[in-house]
Amino acid sequence: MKRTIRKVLIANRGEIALRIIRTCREMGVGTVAVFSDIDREAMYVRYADEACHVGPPQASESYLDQRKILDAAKRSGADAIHPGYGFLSENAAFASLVESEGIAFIGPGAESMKLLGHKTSARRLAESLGIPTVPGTIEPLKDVNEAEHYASKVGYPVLLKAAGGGGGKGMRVVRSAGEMASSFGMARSEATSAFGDPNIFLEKYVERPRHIEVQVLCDTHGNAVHLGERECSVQRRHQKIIEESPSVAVSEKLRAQLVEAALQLVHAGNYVNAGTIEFILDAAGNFYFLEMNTRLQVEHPVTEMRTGIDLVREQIRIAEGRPLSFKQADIHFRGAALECRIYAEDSFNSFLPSTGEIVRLHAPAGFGVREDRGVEEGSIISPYYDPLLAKLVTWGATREECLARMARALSEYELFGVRNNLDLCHWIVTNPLFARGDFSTGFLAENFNPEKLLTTREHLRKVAALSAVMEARKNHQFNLSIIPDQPKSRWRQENSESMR
Amino acid sequence: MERFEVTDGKKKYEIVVHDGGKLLIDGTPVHLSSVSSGRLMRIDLDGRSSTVYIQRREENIFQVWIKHSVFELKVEDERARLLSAWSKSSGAVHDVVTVRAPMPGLVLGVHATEGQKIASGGKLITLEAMKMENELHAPIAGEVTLVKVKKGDVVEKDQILIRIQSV
Repeated sequence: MKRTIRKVLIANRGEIALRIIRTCREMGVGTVAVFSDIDREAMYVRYADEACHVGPPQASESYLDQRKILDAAKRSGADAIHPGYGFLSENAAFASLVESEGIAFIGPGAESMKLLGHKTSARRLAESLGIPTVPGTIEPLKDVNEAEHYASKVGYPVLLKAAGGGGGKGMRVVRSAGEMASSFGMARSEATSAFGDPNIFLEKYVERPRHIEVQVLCDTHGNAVHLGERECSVQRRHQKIIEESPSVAVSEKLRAQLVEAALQLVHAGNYVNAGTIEFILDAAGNFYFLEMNTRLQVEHPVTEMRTGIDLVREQIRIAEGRPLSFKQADIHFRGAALECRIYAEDSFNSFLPSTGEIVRLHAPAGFGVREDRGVEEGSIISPYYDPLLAKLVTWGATREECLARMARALSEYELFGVRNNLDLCHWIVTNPLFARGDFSTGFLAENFNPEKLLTTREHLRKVAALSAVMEARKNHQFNLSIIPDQPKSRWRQENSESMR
Repeated sequence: MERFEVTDGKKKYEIVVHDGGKLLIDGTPVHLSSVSSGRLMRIDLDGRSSTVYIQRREENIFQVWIKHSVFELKVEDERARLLSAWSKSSGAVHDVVTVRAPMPGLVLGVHATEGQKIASGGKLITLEAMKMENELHAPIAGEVTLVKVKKGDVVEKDQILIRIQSV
C-alpha cells in the first residue's frame, strides 16, 4: 500500500524525539510531540510543530498509555506515529491498534514484530534456519525449580533474561545454585514491573563475550539490505555505553557470515522497516544469535555517520510503501564512527542514576562531531525516565582518528549539576586496551577503578579546594580577615582580590 | 592570616590566606584569580583557567564541579578544627551508621525491622529507581535502631532510611 505521510506524531521524548523531528523537518513532514507534565518545557516539545499533553510524569499513564497516544494522533490529524525506541516501540498490540485506525506505524508490522521481537520465537526461528544460538531454554521457565534444573544441565554461570525485555532490565547472571532463588525472584519482578510480562528464560552465560549487531533496512517490496555491524561490548549493568563501527573483532569473513544470518532472519520473518539483529561473539570467534530489536536503536547514529544514510528518513519512506532507493552495492562504508552515551549517573558509585538541574552545559563541536541531545542548561533531570542525556558521536577516517576526536570532544564537554559519565567515557576512549581492541562486555568490571582515576587530578583538586575556601569565606560562620583594597581589574589581579 | 584545612575524602590541603592577599596551598604560593558569572565561577590558577560550579551542601561541606569531576570538600577554619578536636576527645563517638537513599525512588521492600541484629552486607531495602531494582545492604554489622520507611514509600535522595548501631 502506498501512502503519503504528511504529519508524524512522535510517541517518545528526549533526544530521540528531537532527532526524529529534525529529519521530518528536512523532509517537509509536520511533527507532533507528546509530553507529560514534567516535559512541558522540554527541548523536543519546543522543536515540534505541535504538541499534545498526554498525562502525568509516570510513563505508564503518559508515554506508555496507548489510548492517550492514539487520541493525540487523531486530535492533531497525524497520519503516522513514530515510536522511537523504548516505550511503545516494540509493542505489537500498539502497532496493530495504530494501523487499525488508519494511521501508519513507522516500524514493522505487528506480526513480524511478535515473531522476531519476542526472544523465544525469534530464537526458534533462528534455530530452524541453522543460525547458531546460545544453549538455553526455549520455553519460559515455570518456576525456580525449573530454573535450577536447566542451569545444572547447561552448567553455571547462566543468564536469566526477561522474555519481553531489553536494555539490561530483568537480566541477572547467576554464578551458582545458591544464588538462583533470589536472582530468579528479582528478575521476575523486574520483568513484570518493566514490561508487564513475567516470563523469564535461561541460557548459558558466555564468558568474555563481545556484543556485535547488524543494522538492516527492509521495504514492503521484499528488498532487504544491511548497513554493516556495530560493536557494543562496553557496557555497565548490561546496558551499552560505547558503540562503534566497524568492530575490530569482525573479520571480512565473519562479517559476511553475520550479515547473511541477519538477512536470512528478516526474510524468513517477513520483516519490514529498520531493525537490528544482535549477536554475541565468544573468545574463540564463534557467533550466536541473541535477539532482534524491531525498532530504531539508540546507537543508530554510528551507522549513519559511516554510511551517510539517514535511517529515520528511510523508515518514513518505507512506511509510505516506497521501495528502498538504493541497493546493497550502493551502500559505501567510510572510516570509523563511535558513540558515547552520556548518562545521568554516577560512575564512581555503582553507576547509580542521578537527578537534579543542569546548571551548565557546554557541548563540543567541530569537524566529525555529532551530538544528539534532548536536554539543555536549566533542564531538570527527574527519576521518571531513562537516564540518557545525550549521545556524542565522532567520525574519523580511521579508528585511531575517531578515538582521538572523541577524546578531544569529550574534553570540551562540560555538564555541571547532574552527575554524569563524561569522565568514564574519556577514560574508556583513551584506554590502551580499548584502543588495541582488546575488550569484552566485562571490560569495565575488569579494568575500571574509579579510585585510581580520582587521585590523578592534582591540578583540578587544588582548584576545587581553593574554590571551596572562597565560597566558605563568603559565609559569616567564618571569620573574615581584613584584606586591603586591590585594583578592580577582572583578570590580571593579585591573589587577594580573588579571595575576597 | 587565615588558615583552612580542606579535605576531599582522599587528601587534605592546607590553605593559608595572608592579610596582604598572598595565598599558599600546602606551603607553596599560588597565583589565583576569579570572575563570577551567574552561578558559575571562572578560576585561573597559575595560568590555567577552569569553570567551576560550587554548591554548599552543609555549613562546611561544599560540592565543586570542575571539568568532568565532582569533589565533595570539607572546609574547616581554626575554630571548626578546635570544635571537632574537642568533640573527639570528649568521647562523643558513636558507631552509628545512617543509611540514606542514594537516589530518589520507590521502596519496593524493607527487609529489616527495628531491634533486629544484622550482619554487614545484610539486605536492608530494595529501592526501585529508573526501572531498576537496587538492593541496599548494611554497611556495618549491628542492631537496627530505626526504620524510617515502609514498602510503597517514595523517597528523595539522601532521605534517612535506616539507622544501624554497631554492637
